[in-house]
Amino acid sequence: MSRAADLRRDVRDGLWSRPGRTALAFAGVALGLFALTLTLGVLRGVRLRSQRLAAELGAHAAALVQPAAPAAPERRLRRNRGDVLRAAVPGIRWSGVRERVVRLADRHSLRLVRTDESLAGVRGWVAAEGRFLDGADVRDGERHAVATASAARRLGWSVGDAIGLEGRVFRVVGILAGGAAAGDAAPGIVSAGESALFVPWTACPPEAPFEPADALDALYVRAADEASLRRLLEVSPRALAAPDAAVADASWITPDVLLAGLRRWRNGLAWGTGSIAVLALLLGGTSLMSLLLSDVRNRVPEIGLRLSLGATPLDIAMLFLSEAWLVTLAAAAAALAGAWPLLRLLARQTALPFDLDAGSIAVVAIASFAFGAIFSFLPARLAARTPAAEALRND
Amino acid sequence: MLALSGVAKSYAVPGGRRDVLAGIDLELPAGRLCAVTGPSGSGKTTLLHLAALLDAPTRGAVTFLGRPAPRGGVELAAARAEIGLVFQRFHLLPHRTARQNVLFRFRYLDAPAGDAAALADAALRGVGLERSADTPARLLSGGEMQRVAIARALARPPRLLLADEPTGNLDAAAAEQVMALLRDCRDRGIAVLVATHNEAWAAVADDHLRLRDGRLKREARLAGGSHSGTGSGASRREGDPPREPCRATAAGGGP
Repeated sequence: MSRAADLRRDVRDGLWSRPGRTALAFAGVALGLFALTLTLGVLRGVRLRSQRLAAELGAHAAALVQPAAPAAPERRLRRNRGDVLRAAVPGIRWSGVRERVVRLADRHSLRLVRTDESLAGVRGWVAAEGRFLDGADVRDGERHAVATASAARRLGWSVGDAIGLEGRVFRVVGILAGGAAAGDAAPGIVSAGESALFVPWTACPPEAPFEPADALDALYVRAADEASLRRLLEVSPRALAAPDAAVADASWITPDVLLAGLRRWRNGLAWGTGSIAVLALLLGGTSLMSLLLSDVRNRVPEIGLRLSLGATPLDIAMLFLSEAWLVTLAAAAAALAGAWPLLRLLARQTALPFDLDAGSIAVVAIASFAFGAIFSFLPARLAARTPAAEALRND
Repeated sequence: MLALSGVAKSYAVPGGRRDVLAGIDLELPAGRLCAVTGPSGSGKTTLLHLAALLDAPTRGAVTFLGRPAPRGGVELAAARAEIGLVFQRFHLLPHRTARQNVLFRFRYLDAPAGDAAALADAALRGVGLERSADTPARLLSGGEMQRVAIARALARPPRLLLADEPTGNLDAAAAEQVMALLRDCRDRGIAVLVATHNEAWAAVADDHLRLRDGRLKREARLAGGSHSGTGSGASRREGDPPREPCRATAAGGGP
């Protein structure tokens, strides 16, 4: 029999002789590694989502959003504020949007976005079919529309189709390439991945009575580089404080702002699942150590026998280390087998970002290996230091 | 083969130390069966553990195969692997079969699996247990367990065989079987040292040493180094040269 087969048999005999304790240690370690896997899944999901959010907003881009109309109408965010900002930081490009949710005749709903021809360029979107709105569409108030891929797929639209919208007929002139998934869109930021329809801001009446036609919910700005964007964020409070350009209750959404929010969410969840992981791992580790210590005590004569047959102290230590590793690696496999489908399900059923990659799986495997080594160190050392003669007297 | 020179062993006990062995000189050549008797607690097992290199003496030197006993590491493990041990309580692995227990002799040796299996089967045949090879050790009788333990010790022929009360838990018939096996080992050139309470059995060994007050004393009838007529002489092969007797002296005085 090979040494590996011998070791397998030795380990199996050791663990099988105390099934209750082995099961307890296994369960504790598996629970801890399960929580660790969830933590890693959340952390990776958030990291990916952060990257997608930043990519979705666009490079060197930011959004000035005014979620609700202010009490003073003159402090409403309007299209001319874009020109004010461009005057403050030459070279920037901007686009404004005003949006609302509309319900279609077939009970579907989608986000209707009144905008201008610059939005696709500012946001870095490309058309998968047809084109985006152009200057003539906006200037002439053409009833042309561009759908996101999600809306086109869901509603069966293609370029050239005529669609009825609030009593008006629009013609689809383009379909955007897919962007970030709807769940990955930041609040207040319109995404190419969600179900939305873009029309010239001049082709629809205002969203509210007495509201100026050029009122905006958000103003997207793209700078030539990072330095220009920083300068824009610095000078915008002063530029937008002028009496004829004042904007109330507006705030900048930048990649940093988006990521800070995600980081808070990630930290909260990671602390929660991480604490559970640590507690469960400590419980499992204590059980494992207790199992192994009991194992060492019960197998003292066997240790003596092994030493008398030519085992070295390292062989004896490896016996108990291997038992620990078998438990922790099996627990890691069980934890991954349980966490993988759960994370997939959560990612599908909720907007929460969960993801598990090969790196995370490797971390769990390495953690289980290290965990086995740490918690079996004391029992293995105790076993390795057992004097052979005393062990053989012990019965 | 094995030499103990001025070997003493003491243990820490509450209130001081207890001297178990107080200066043992013993030379055990190959092909010699030596029995050590003595009352319980006289140090027989301690002597065997020192001879098996499982323990280190408090004082004195142990020489095995002409070299000082290694103090640790791979050398010590390799030297121990040359020694066969038979324990009073057998020390079998209860969930494993008789064959697996015998194969355990090779657990820490570099022996090809096929060779080990053949040697294990041969050893089981040698002790008459080939039919029980697949029986879990816990289901064997005391005599069978002891024979499995002997088969384990002999599966890889040792240079030195040490047996601690090998017949202590056996009935007369089983004890006689075990004694015959040990004599056979002696005849195959293995040095055999047996610790026993059984005076009758010791009387048929090549040498009979008595351990008392931590010292070894040769029984008077063997003082000339001759063999017992009822034991070794009967099993000696014709034409074999006479064996060198086991020499034992107590420190500070001759036998």
